[in-house]
Amino acid sequence: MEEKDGNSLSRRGFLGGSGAVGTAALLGAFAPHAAGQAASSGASASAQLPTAQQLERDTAAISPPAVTGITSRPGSDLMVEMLRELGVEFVAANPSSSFEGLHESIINHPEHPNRTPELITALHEGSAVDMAHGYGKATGKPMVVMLHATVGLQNASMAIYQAFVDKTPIVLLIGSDDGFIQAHIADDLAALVRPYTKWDAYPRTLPDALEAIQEAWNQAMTPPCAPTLVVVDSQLQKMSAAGFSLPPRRQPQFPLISTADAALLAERLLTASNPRIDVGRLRTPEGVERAVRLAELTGACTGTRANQGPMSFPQTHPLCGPGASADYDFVLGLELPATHFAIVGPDIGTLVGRDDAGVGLSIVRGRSGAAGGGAGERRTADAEASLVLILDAVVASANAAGRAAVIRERSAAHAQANREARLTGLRAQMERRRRGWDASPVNTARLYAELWPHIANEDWCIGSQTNFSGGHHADLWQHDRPYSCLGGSGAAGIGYSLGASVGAALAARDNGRIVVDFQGDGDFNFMPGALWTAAHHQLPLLIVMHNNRAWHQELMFVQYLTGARGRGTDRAHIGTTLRDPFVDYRSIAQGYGVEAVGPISDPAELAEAYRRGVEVVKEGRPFLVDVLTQPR
Amino acid sequence: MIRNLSHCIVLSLALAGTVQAQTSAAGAALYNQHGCYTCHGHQGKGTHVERTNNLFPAPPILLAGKTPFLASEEVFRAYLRLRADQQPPEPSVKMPHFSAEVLDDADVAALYAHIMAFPVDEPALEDTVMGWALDHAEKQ
Repeated sequence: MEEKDGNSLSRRGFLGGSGAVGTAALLGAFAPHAAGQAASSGASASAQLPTAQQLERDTAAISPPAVTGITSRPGSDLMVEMLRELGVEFVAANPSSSFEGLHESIINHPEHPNRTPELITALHEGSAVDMAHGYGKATGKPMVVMLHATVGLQNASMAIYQAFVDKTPIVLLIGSDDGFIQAHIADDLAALVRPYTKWDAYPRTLPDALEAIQEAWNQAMTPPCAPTLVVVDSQLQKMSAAGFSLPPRRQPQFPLISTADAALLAERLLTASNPRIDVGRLRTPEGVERAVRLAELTGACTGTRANQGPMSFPQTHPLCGPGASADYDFVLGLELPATHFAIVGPDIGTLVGRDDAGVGLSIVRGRSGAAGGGAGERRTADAEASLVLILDAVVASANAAGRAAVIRERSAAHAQANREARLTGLRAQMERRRRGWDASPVNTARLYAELWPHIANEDWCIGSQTNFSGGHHADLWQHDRPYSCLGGSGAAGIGYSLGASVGAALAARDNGRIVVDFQGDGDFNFMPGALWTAAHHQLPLLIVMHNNRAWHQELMFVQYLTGARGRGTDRAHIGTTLRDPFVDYRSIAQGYGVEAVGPISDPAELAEAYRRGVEVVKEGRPFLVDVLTQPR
Repeated sequence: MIRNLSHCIVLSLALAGTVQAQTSAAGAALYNQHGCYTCHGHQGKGTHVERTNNLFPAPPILLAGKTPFLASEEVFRAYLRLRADQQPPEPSVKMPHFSAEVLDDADVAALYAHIMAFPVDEPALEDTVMGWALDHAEKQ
């Protein structure tokens, strides 16, 4: 057992005690940093130069990984079985020596080689986490990302931050090995991202590692959903798993409303003359099904956020809309503030105890309106899980039968009113968007409108953020599935959309679903390598380049200021535009193995490009349509 | 004589057309160079930002005959030069002003000619793919 230079005891020193310790006793032993716990001291990497052996190990590639002994059942096999037990479908990674044990176990597991989980190759750690972000929003469950020590984790940090703000479950496994060059080692790796992760652990034994992975999954899944992190030492991955087995499965525990509250809500919904249910972002498709059932059982008209983000009420459900009358006498909010009663899960503000840097606090301040709005009663509980109790109470209520005729009648009235409102609203939105219809470059409303006929009758999902290209789907398309629109990046950071759409396409691959990425050109250039991942894994992804050849918002900022200072706007393009030369996205896509057309500036050519794109995507290959557009 | 006169008329018309084309080309270059398109769109149709706030303004559409500051070249020039609403300088909420040093009278004339030449008509809803979308929604 060697000691790390400059430290009294290496992490391997802890591993000597990794014998068959009882699982239950270990729950408190893997040094988790849960919400509210004080963080341990930060990273202590010294500035010593790497040794020749370390450099050789990490850069020269002339030595194979150090193997302490050939083992037929390494610890990493057991970790992969733990992931399979949890239902992990995909593990995204850019390859690294710190998790080579896990990598090898995923692709060569004797019973399920590279299947559940399947290894997804990412060209950048940020892309890998963006993929997990998109996948997490499309499915409601975590994808796993493996990251390499200090450098891989820091490459991924911005994407982790966005997923945190966007309350999306992801499990991060961070490889670590004392044998690396000093700059890759830290005593407390999780400290690099602790302010914007929910929970982390650094297990010292194999049983601890298995428990930690399970706990990370459960923590990520329970509100506030967020990325969690486990540091997985390379020695734990390579040690023999003989004598070890998976720990018992522990299910996530969701905070619930009381049964008394559930009974009260059931009665209020059943007996109100005009109840309404306002649905925000639930966690999973099952939650959406429950909300639909509650609306149907009670005849309540509903509000939705399905055109803004995932897991909300289907937009064209007959009960979705303002209803026959806006004079609501009882409004229930599900993950939204409401006039009378709201069930809202704990926000990430509850995690600020992990946040020495004040990062989370600033996010909470930004959300104060949403967190504090609504004049009615409020319960801090998971709406999706609580819906089970409410549904049970509705079914059991004597009023359910007694009010059946009333509920049937008001449901029919809502259905008719909602349909009329929907069609009237749609026509009005379309009229507004005729403006500049034939303009060249293509106007952004037409960018969306021309695609609709090609996918309206398909199972589709918008994987990208859409605000920079006008977000016209919100008013022109009908969002009826829990994943129809996955919404924004969370923290408005750039570089998110392509990776997130690839993640959404992973969720779609085996379901006959088409994922659309309305891809800003500025955003694209941060991590274009995700295109290769889409090609390599044969993902059903249609990328529509919103190519305005600029970081347009910033161009407008600079332009305004130059004008305001009276110095002319003719140099505002410097540093804000992508010209001289223009970027050739078709060639870039083709270089990554993605079929592509464009650039298209004549809007009349869009329909054929989209037809071809959808045709290719339905065959299981990504396709890129480069469209020169109006700025916004 | 008549023949010479008609030659003169043809020549004058050709020259006028050339001047018009040059003005339009110069106006197009200025429209692009000074970033008019960033808010007003490449054909003056504005941007399609439906949810406006300080970051995403909804600027006027440049429509001949309907946009007040396009009433005449003189009005347009005055509008460019005399705007005094630049303080405090919060980005992107107001249009910048353009002094004579930045856009001289000839520039303004060229720019005005370019803007006034923007097409005004739009196709009927039913003649666009949105007509199909409306039918599709009605059948749901």
